Amino acid sequence: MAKAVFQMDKEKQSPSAEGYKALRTNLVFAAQEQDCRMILLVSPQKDELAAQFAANLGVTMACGERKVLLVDGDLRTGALTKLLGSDKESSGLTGLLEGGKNLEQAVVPTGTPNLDLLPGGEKCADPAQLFSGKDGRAALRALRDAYDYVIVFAPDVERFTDAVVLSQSVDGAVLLLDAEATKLRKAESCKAKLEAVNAPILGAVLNNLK
Amino acid sequence: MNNQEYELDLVDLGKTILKRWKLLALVTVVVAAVVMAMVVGSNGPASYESSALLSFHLTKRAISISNASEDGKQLDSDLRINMDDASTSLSQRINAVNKLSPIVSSILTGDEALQAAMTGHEPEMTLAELRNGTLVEAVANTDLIKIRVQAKSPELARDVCGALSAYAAENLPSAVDADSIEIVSAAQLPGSPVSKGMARKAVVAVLVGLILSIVYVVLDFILMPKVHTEWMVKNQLGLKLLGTVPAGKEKKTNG
Repeated sequence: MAKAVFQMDKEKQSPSAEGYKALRTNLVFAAQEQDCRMILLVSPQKDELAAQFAANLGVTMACGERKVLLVDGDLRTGALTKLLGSDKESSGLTGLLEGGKNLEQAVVPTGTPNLDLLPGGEKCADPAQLFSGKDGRAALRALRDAYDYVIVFAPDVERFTDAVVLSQSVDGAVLLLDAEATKLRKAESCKAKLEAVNAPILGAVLNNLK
Repeated sequence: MNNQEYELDLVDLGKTILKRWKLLALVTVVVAAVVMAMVVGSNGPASYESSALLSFHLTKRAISISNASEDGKQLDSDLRINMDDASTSLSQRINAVNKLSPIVSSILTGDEALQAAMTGHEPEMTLAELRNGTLVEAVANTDLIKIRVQAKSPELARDVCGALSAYAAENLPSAVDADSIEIVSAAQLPGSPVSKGMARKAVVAVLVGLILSIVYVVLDFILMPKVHTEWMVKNQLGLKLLGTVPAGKEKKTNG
């Protein structure tokens, strides 16, 4: 696993680890209350820390015998896949959504117990089209049955519509706000876009808080 | 209403300005380049400058009055000392010449002096052009006065400056209560055109660029605030705050 992702065993007392644990508690609570087990991370604008956040959240959620799947929904850059890295061949999310591939062929282990990664797979010119198709949505929903929690990472809403489309296939969306970078207007715009399609917004996380 | 809405974190603003140094540098260079290009483009024909130095041998009376005129209390004693003393100190002479320089300037940039100086050069320049190009001022920390004349050609600048200094040497002693006025350094033929303060304009251009870029960053900071507090998430975005993650040491990725 990439060095950028902290190891919960080594840094379990750090302020960052405590922040992720508090977030995990809230998400687990939401899962119990609303059966919200498939979560979409939405960044209002380009966020260099978003993939790292998703990976760290995945590591944190995977503690305690919960089976967690990280989905790299950024089919343009594959930021999460690059961050976590994997030697194993995988058809990735693209292969899964386009049909013909099963989950076992698409998912790769991350090295962290109980945490798997569904890489982006082959780059796709129009991911939103892929996500919004009937088969695509069904395949995404099927991920939910195989894991306790599914965390979907998506590109920012400011540049791409992928996250808004993906929000229709998940149980809840979490706005990921970088305290050092996310502009209020961009966050408001992002929220409005999600609300316009009746996306279930669970709330927001304030990341990179100094 | 919560006061947090109106808080402006100056420390954060300072950090933001420093963080965006690349933008500041880029805008500064671009604006400076544009301003300088406009300045160079609007400079017009070259201008040459010639100068002469005059030494004013003022009378003791003129020096004493000049040194005493500022302070009423010193007037009597200074007059007594200087009228009685055969010599005057250098500082007193410098002070007197400094005070005299505006009078000298007004005389030498007056119509009579300028017309005398440009005799024979009327087709080459007008009286107004000569007045604009003539500067008379005291040389700092000396008892000298410098005459500077700018003109379209080096010969014209030298000739007019020479004529003006000669006019001063001949006509000013009686006007300023001087025993004599000596031309210490005669007007010379200038070798190259004057730069018209290009260095100063360059500095101003850079400052304009820097100020513009800082204004942009500050306005962006004020008008486009970042979501950096829990209060903003709850009250301005109207969202439930699920958690906060402090900044860690993790490296940035290209997400």
